[in-house]
Amino acid sequence: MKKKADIRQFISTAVPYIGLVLLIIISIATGGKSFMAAKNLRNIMTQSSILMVVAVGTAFVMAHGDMDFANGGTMGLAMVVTLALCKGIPSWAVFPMCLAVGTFIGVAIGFLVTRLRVVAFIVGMCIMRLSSAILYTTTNKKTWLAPAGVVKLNKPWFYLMVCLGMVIAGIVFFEFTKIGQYNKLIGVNRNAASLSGINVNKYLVYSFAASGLCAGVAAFMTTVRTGGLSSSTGNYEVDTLIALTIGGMPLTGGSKASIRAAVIGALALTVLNNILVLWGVNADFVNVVKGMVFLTLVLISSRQNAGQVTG
Amino acid sequence: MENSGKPRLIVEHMSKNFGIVKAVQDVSLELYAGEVRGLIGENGSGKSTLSAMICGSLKPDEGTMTFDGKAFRPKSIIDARNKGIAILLQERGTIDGMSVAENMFIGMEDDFKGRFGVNRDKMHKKAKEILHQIGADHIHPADLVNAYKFEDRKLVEVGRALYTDPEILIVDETTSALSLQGREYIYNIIRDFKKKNKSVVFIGHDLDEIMHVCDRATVLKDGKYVATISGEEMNPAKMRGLMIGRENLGHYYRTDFQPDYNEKEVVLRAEHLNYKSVIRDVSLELHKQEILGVCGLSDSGMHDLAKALFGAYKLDSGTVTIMNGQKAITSTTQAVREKIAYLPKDRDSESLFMHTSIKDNISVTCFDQKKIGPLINKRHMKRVAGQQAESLNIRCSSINQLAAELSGGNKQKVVVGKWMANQADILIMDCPTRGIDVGVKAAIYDLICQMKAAGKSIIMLSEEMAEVIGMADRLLVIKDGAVQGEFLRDKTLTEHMLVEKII
Ligand SMILES: Nc1ncnc2c1ncn2[C@@H]1O[C@H](COP(=O)(O)OP(=O)(O)OP(=O)(O)O)[C@@H](O)[C@H]1O
Ligand SMILES: [Mg+2]
Repeated sequence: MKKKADIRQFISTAVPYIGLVLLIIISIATGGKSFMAAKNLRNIMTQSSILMVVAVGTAFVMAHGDMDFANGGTMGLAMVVTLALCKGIPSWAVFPMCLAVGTFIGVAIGFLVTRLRVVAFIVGMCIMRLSSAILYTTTNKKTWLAPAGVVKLNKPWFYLMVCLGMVIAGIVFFEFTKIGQYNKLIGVNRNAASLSGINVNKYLVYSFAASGLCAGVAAFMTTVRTGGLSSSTGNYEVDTLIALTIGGMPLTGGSKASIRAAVIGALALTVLNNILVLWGVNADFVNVVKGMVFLTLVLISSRQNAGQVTG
Repeated sequence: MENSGKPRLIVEHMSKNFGIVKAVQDVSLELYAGEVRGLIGENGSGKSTLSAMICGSLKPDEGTMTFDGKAFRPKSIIDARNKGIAILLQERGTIDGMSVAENMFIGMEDDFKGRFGVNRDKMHKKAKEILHQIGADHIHPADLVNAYKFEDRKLVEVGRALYTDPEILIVDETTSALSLQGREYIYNIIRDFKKKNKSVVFIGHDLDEIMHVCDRATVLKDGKYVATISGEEMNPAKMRGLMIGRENLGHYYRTDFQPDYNEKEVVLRAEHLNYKSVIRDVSLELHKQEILGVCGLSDSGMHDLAKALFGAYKLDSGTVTIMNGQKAITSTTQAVREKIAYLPKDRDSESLFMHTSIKDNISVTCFDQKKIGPLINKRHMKRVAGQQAESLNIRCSSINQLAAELSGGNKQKVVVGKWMANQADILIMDCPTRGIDVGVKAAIYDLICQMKAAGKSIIMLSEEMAEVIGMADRLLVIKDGAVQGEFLRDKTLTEHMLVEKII
């Protein structure tokens, strides 16, 4: 019994790793020089680090079984507030400002979901729309640049350090505090969680706050990268969902949720994107491929849960 | 027992393994027409696994079955039901998000084919008819099944099993989930089966019930066939002997007959509780070292009262106060912080994290223990879970096994373990021995006595009057959501005296 269960456990955790390694090998083999070029690798790192930070936050929300469609919109709003509303903000204040706005939006979502009982997914959609509309109107006639001190940070080590810090913090909060652990249990059985003394609403709010905070950090990273506000800021909702699923995050949350899924998934999705572009696949088709990968994974994971109707 | 005629169902050399767990090993039995066969054994002895194989939900690893002279190899529960063998599952067998009628006729929608898919009216009418037959008129076919309590959902399953008019009915511990009245319906159905010369397999842990309901009883132990007994031999002592290897469990309930608690020290006080129309102006006091028994029918509101005392309901009026510090209990979180524990009757959906390890299930109450600075102490939590699993003797391959894979009784032990791990001072136990075998039952009663001796206070709610009379210092009878009477522990107290107040 033990052996078999352990093997099953091992395989299900190992699959995402194996997939990532295979993907990298294929990329090196087929992409060759252009894949391994320093500039390309730097690109992959920058892109994946931002996606990873967003996904780490989203993992907390997905742990309890909600879809998080607010992360991209939160990023956009954090940047608008920081760069446009607080015009002429000193360089040092950009980071805390992004963080504060992101967290604030997260907490607000938490209250909407827990107090007013709005479905998280719907709130996310609204924030996404709101953000893109505001971004469009603010960037329509004017360009908003980030303070020079912020743009100076645009170096590989910056992304690496921030990403590493966020991943470590994510693991600590997910695995070694009640925030992550309770959200997983809520994902398994909300009723039992509540009747075991878990303050369900409080921990749901924490999870949305975590997601908002990470989106705030990602907003700062994006500011550094792009040096200003652009109308396409954000747009991370679907990519984080796909990345987390590739990394092995169950869509219903629960005990198999992990930060590992965010890390592996973000890397894999970025590499996949990159190699498809190197192969000369056109951008629309890249989206088709991503969609197919996602659908396949969803099918596999729902197949695993089938046949347990009466538990 | 007239063993005349050929057996209807012959089970030969059946085995089933789950990895290294030999759940059923080489079991053979023959079931005759008109027979009610008891199937007994300790928790995890393989009763549910064996019946799952007979009713088609599990494939046997080895063994064959013959039903009315023909080889019987059911492909699924639905297949077996169509061939004449139906089961009432021990665990929840209804599917949330579907209506009562849809649950009842799952897999048989074809019977209600209308011009545009399923003819709902026809389906609802039939469901209503069946529900009426089993005395469950309060259940409405069109409602979602989740809207109903555990007992009612079980009745829906009863209706489903009867719809196909099976030749053989397997009843897996269903009665322990039902109210007195619900049980009567099941007994009636069983009598009816007997009259029609059909057969029943009846699984249970209440040996008196087995004695009354069954003609013969087959005993399983560790997945193996032990014996089949009938007549004179079918007495509780003999059955216990075969099941656990000891006839005499020593004392079972408490041996003293005096109320024995600290009358001066109230630990929990409830004043004028009202909730919807299920709890009506209930006030009670729980004293230190007291076992307060609460009994009533399952729809008397006592299960709701348990939840209300634990802070799970937003009360219409009234307060629950913990006397140590004079704090009002308004949420489950606060209740747990004040060291109150709650063991729900419906453990599967209200207490267990199914596809999660035993370890995580037990340690859910331990996140604040032995913290390392702000971080939780996983090693400590694992140790606590291991200790509880060991001291409660949970039958599992390791504490990493999923709770969903445990037998019914062992799941209950996991729930007990979770609150033991929290070192709760006040325990609200709703039907704490439901689905637990005699050996473990004795252990749980023993545990309750130990907790009492250690200064804890216990509210024990149960539909089994014998156990409440056997354990409680003081006893409240609930009917229609209100307290109808109070009794002190006394040698002369009988079930009869309680029944008068209950009904
Ligand atoms: N799906 C499963 N995976 C692994 N082990 C299982 C599974 N189902 C049952 N078992 C194990 O098989 C053994 C027999 O379980 P079973 O449910 O048949 O017991 P039972 O006699 O019905 O007990 P109870 O009286 O507690 O209901 C137990 O040790 C149990 O842990
Ligand atoms: Mg069982």
